[in-house]
Amino acid sequence: MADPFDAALDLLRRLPPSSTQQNLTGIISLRPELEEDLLSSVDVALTSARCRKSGRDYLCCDYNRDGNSYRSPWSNEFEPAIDADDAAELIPHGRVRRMEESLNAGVDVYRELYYEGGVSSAYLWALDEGFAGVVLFKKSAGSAGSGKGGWDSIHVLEVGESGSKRSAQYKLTSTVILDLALRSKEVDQLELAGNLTRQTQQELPLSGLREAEVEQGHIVNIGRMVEDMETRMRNLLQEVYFGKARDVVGDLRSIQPLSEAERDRAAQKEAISKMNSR
Amino acid sequence: MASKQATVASFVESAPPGELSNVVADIKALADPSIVQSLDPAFKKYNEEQYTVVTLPGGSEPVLISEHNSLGDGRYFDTASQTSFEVDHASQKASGAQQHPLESQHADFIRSLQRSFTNATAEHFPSSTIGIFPVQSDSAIAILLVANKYSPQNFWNGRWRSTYIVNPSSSSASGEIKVDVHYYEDGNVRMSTSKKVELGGSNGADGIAREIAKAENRFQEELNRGFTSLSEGSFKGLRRQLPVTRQRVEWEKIGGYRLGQDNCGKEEIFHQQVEYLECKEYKDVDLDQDPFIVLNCGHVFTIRTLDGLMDMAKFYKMDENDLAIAIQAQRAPNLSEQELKCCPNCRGSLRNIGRYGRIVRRAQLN
Repeated sequence: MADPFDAALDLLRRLPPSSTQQNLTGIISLRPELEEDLLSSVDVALTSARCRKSGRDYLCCDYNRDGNSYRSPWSNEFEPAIDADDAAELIPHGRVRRMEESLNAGVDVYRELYYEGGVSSAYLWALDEGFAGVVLFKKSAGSAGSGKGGWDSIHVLEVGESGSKRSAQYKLTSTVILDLALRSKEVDQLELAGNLTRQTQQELPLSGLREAEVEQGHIVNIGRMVEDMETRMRNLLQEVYFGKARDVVGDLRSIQPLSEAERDRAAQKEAISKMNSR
Repeated sequence: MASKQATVASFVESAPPGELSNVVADIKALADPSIVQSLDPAFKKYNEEQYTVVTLPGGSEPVLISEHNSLGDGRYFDTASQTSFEVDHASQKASGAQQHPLESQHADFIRSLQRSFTNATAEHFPSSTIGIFPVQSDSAIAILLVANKYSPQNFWNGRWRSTYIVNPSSSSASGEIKVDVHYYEDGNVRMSTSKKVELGGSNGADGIAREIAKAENRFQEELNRGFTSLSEGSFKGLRRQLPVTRQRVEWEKIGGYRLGQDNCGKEEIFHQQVEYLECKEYKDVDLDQDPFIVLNCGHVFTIRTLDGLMDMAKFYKMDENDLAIAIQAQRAPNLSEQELKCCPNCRGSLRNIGRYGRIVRRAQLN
């Protein structure tokens, strides 16, 4: 019999992506022991909260969560507050927090340039050799007019630092959840919902000897990788959501009568063979 | 909180086209065998809603099953072969075929619909299964169609379903078209769409089949337009392909960036309409493709827009890149002072723009 965890992931890959959250809850009710593994490996649409200290919005995910509290990247505090001992362990400090702050500032500029709105957040945490993190974006397009949409991107990264600090190994796993819907007189309802995940890995140089330069180098490398990946995935989404869906419908049913299409093909074939025999 | 039973049944009922067996295998790995045992109602619902196609024992013709040809107790009938049969919903297999003569006051009409609709669908569906059944105590006729295309090796599957209920006395019909597409290569993308259609009275079986084909063509064209409008509308509004500056982010200088309008111009300039042909704003126009002219009044327009306004092509012979290569003396129209062109925004003068000097001066001379 198949491994239950693999079966759960396969099931979530097949059932309607618009109900992933609900199906995830359902699977956990069948197999409570899978809860932790599933929550950390299944991406669901992000929620946002308002930072009590700065008044700015931030995004919530499994990586800044402790129980029912989430850590704001702006204040670096859990809301609602958690046990002081737990907080001391979970709240990043020193180098990791410095990089988290610059990454949030950078990602914020990037978000304004590409999304012209929306919410972004970045969270980092230390690993034994290097550090890891997640960069998040969320944008909703209004329901004015007949279409609405939502974009959530989740970039999980792992950075392996070598002893020399001349370069680092970056591993990026990105998921974009894109939901689009259209209601009109001509098509009662059209829903295109889903998610795509892609991975990439790169060894990138770090210049400078001072710690601040190395930290800045990481932000540049991470930022550029996220930008490349999002741009690639945006093209891929465009292709899958609009090109592929349309092609499959065209494979099911042809607007042009098939006998006509057949005649066209035959005529074309004849024309080509005539040209060749000349 | 839904019961485990209901949870698993909902997984079955929402299985994508062509993937029921995969979904069931996953369920078996996750749920108690006792729950899997009791899924028959969910399988029945799935098969009847999705117009599951079965092959009759001893026959080769595929037959679809639905609530419209159900006889109860797991038995269904087919009008074309005049057979009834039993369906095992979990395995989607038919057995126990028996003679089932078509008894309906509309039997002849059903037979002609069968012929006409078979011919008409063959013109648009490379592969499909249809079913025509007397319904509503023999007062109406249901026309059903299902077309499946599965390509699991390429990670996509699709299904088209049509349902029409025909009123035999008026030959009018009402129905619904549903299409589902699933794409799941390193992801999970689902397209689902539906459209209710009303067909006016038409002439006989052929007429109904023609009206259906027309309505389905119209729907498919609208659906394709819907894809374009989502792609050009909502999708574009979520994340840009490139920032307004048309440059990728310079991460080295990210600390020096200032947000928003301070980046390279004022917000009001970004939104100034500079292109009248496609109603584009400054921020959406590529300078390299569409150069600008800044007028004395301070308004900015693309050369394309101003050339159109000035009727450049009437005064100059233009090459394919809209460069003036010769004067068209003969054809140049006589302009009067009234027709003296000006800034489309504020009616400011175009006198000092070298490109249009000849045209403006000529109008003034006239």
